[in-house]
Amino acid sequence: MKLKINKMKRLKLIALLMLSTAWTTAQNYTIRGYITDSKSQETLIGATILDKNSGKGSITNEYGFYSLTLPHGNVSLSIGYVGYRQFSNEFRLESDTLLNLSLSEITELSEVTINGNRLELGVQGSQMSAIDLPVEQIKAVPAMFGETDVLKALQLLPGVQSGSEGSAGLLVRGGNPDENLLLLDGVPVYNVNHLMGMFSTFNPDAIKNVTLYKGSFPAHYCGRLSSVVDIRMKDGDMNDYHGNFSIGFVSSKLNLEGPINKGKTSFNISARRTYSDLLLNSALLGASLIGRETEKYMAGYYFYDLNAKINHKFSDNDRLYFSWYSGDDDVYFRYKYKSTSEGNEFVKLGWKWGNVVSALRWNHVINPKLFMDLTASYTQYRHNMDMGLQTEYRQEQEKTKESINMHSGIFDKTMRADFHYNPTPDHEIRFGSYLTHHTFRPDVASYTSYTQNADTTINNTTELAQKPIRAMEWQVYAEDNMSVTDLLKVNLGLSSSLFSVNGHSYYSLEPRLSGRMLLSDNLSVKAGYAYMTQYVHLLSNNSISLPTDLWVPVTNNIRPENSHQIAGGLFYNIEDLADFSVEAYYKRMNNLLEYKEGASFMTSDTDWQDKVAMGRGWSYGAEFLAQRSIGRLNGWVSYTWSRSRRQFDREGMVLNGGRPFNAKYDRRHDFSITGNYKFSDRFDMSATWMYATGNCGSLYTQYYNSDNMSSVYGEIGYFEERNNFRMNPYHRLDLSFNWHKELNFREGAERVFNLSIFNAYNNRNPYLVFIYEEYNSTTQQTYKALRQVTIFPIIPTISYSISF
Amino acid sequence: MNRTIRYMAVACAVMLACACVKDIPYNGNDSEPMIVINCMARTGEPLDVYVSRSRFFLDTSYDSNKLSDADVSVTINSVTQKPSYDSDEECYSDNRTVMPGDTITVRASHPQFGNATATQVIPMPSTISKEKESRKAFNKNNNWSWTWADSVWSVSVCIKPETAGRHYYRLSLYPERSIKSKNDKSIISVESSRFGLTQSTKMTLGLINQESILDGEDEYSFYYSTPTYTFSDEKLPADGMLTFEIALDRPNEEPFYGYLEGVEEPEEYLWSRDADKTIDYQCRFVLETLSEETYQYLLSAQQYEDSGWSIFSDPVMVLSNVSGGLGILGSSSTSESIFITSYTFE
Repeated sequence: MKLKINKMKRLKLIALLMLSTAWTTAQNYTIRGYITDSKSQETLIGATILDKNSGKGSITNEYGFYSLTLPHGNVSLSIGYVGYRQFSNEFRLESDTLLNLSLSEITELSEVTINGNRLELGVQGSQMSAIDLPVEQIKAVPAMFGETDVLKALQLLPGVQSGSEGSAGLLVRGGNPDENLLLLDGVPVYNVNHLMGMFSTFNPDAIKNVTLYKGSFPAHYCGRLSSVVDIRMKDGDMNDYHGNFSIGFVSSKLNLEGPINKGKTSFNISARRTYSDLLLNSALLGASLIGRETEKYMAGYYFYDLNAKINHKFSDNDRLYFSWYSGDDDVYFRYKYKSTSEGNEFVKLGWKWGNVVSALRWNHVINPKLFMDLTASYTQYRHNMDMGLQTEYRQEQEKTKESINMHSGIFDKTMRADFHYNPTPDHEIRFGSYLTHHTFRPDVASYTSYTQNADTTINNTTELAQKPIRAMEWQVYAEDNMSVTDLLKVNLGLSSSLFSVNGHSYYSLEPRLSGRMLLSDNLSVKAGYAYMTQYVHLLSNNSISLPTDLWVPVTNNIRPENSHQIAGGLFYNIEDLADFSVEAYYKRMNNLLEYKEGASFMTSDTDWQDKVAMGRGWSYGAEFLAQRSIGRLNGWVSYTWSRSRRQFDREGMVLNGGRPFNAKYDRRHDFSITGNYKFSDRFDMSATWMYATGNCGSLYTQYYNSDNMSSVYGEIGYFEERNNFRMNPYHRLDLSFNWHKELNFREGAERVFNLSIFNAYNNRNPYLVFIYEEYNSTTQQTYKALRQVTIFPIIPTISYSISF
Repeated sequence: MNRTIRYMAVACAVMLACACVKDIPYNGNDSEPMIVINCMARTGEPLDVYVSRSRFFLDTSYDSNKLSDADVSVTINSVTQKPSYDSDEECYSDNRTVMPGDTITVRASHPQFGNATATQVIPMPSTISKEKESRKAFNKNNNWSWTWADSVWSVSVCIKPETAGRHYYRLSLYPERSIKSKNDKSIISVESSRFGLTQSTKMTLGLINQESILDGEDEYSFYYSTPTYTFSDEKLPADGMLTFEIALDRPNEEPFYGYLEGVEEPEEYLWSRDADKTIDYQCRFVLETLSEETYQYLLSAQQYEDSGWSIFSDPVMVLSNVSGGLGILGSSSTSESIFITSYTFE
């Protein structure tokens, strides 16, 4: 009987609780909408929406959407975005409310329009090891040949290094160059380099926002060990047409944007092309005309990028985006000999490589608390090399044709669904999944020959091809960015992935955790942990980026790389001055790949799996960043102290005798200071100074007799440890000056004359070091020394641009 | 305008001049030469110890680095001797021979280049035994069809270690053919035979130094070099059996010089005119069971040799087991097996 009463009581209690929950829910309403730029209607990523009454807030996602659920009653909303006027509004919340808002830029500070670090990346947010770099700031960074570059600007941030000088490659927290996930509108780009890595494929004119994650990765990112660079393209102005045209030392660029259907549909298109080949060919053509030569040459190199995006707004709940990127590098040589008596000869050589990336995205607000992003995307990187010879001999009456073609590539097709669910202001939940079909196409070579003479015709085609490797990659994730208390905020996530290739599957469960403890309004301490898995590898020579670099999947023998990273830091903000952060990290990596000693990508007769060794690595360091995003003077100061070590001691895969050694890009110190200053509306300047410990490499320091103990007949080289030699430190100063002048034909139109000076004090920075030896027959003495090559001395460049 | 062009030309010249090279000092602390010991201790053979000094990479002198005035001692199973210096061979010779299981220590010291020492235990030998042999017609369509072979001699050997654990081997093959006189059947020429391996054998072994011979690319090495394979027993099939195929090639019609037994001067012969149609073929398999350090040394030295041509290859660290210096004290136990067959060419 007693038991029965207890049961009844329990049931009543549960019913009461359910009723109270229902009542509470009924008292909450959701405000949702998009935050945009008032002029262009470009959505703003990371804008903050705060109810001053309750202290609860939200942040716009990467599509500018926000959702904030608050109790019934008076609301005092404050919406802000650094560089934009704050918007405040008070109203009574009595139902779910759609509130699309446009913020205006603060033109008084328009010397450089700065967006600043987003809330969730700064003192208040739970995310750490992430930095937002506004495109305006990227464009203000002085650049080699005047070509502003997203990745080179990122190299100035703490924890990020470049490879060799001039390279756009990223090395993040002791990781390798292939451990970075570079996303353009959420789609991976495999080869991000033009001209051996001197320029990246990302044209700043087409870009809206760049965010770099070095650790504490949110669960929706996966697939690489060291970093995620999330680059978002501009959507295009919904209201008015704008454009920008610039002509520079290396390339010309054009950017156009505007409405297709005002307020509904917009476009943004950007193109860039280098023209060194046009100049060279004009010279070659001129030379052949002057000399009335029967021989004609054409040769050159160029690259181009084409970005396009269309954005259509069906309603406040539905948007469709289509984004496209295409970029190629092309090296070519043509030779033509024409003689009426002898015959003709035609030789052509061509080397072309590039990416195509496209995405079709549908944003749908399912209900005020639930936002859906569906994406179908395609990305490919392909490399093609052609050689051909064509002859026609009149006397012999013979025609021949020979051609060799080699190509390789990687092709991905992905379906992805992401959901953003904000049930209460204390929970920002994301969950989703994607499925990618990879096709890896290793080297394919074909040879074709054709001979025709008076008697016979011979046609022959031979193809040598490795079979395409197909793989499926599937990921499902969930994360909750939750406010535990007013002081403690935690982002808890779990990602699970499966990679299936050649009948073999790898599975990985990746926990992610980061948290922030607020010590005061402008001071917080953060910590984070992330486990990452990587299923694809880049077979590459370390020092330069070559188009022959090959992406390959994991195999039965080559296991996925994985890493554990922990990080902690202190974040401090001084209002109206700057953001400061100090972070320390420790990263442990497994199944890293390196070429075996003596192996080279140049030898194609061996299976790539036999050429690489698997080992482990660990890196640790401390990073400091002071970033000022407002005022006439803005910029950042960054310093990194780090170590990165490797150990390869598995049987058959031993490097350095199995002992630990410095990673190739181990650097102790990395310092940079970047500043932009606006003197007046007509003149501004920026400067960057950087200092870095020199790169290291392996150098035989002693030679000794082999005494025929082995197959070595001469001397054997000896070095104490792999990467035992360190080059001289690297430092340089870059300057950029901009002269602005308003143009009368349209309001806001201006022309800008830019003078950039790369390596202003002409420091001879090391690019490579080799052993130089010369015998002087007069003195009969041999001179031998280490010789350092510098490839980029002081380089002044000018550019001119018109924007309207 | 001309002035502008002049200024630009000067600016370009300055830029080019700046984009130059400069010599830099070496800032490492490992520039001092070290003492080097090289010695391969094989069962049944006397010990030759080569002692030299290393050369700093910026040294411009390439004179002999051999050290004839070093203090060298060899200890075999606790019995120490000072070997004598052989100025012809430029090495220190110890006439003692070593046996499986012996412990050898070599010490060398020099007032200028310091002291070095290395120790090795001679590994226990593995046996190599004849298992089977067969002959089949030569397939002209395979990748060495350009030879003049009529027939393929297939021989199988079995490698069996005496002890448990991982074993390391160097297997050398010496195929020979004896051409006999048509008249009195006396041998007039013994020469290296052509040699080929089946693809499956090639895949089975962790080959490290005979790619060119297998691919038939290098005719010189095809004729004169001894096919040698260095591998660990993880590369061996479970039954330890390896099958090799030897091409029994027809001597060509070019005159050749042969040596009759007991006659010093060679005489010119023509195979079709002077030689017997039946040729004796012999294949000698010499198996060295290596110590692990010897194996790693041979492997890394081969990688070092192979990578020499490529500027893109990462440098190779050749293993050294010499404490206080450089070089290798290697050890091996040798066993062998011989196959003989006769073939009559039509």
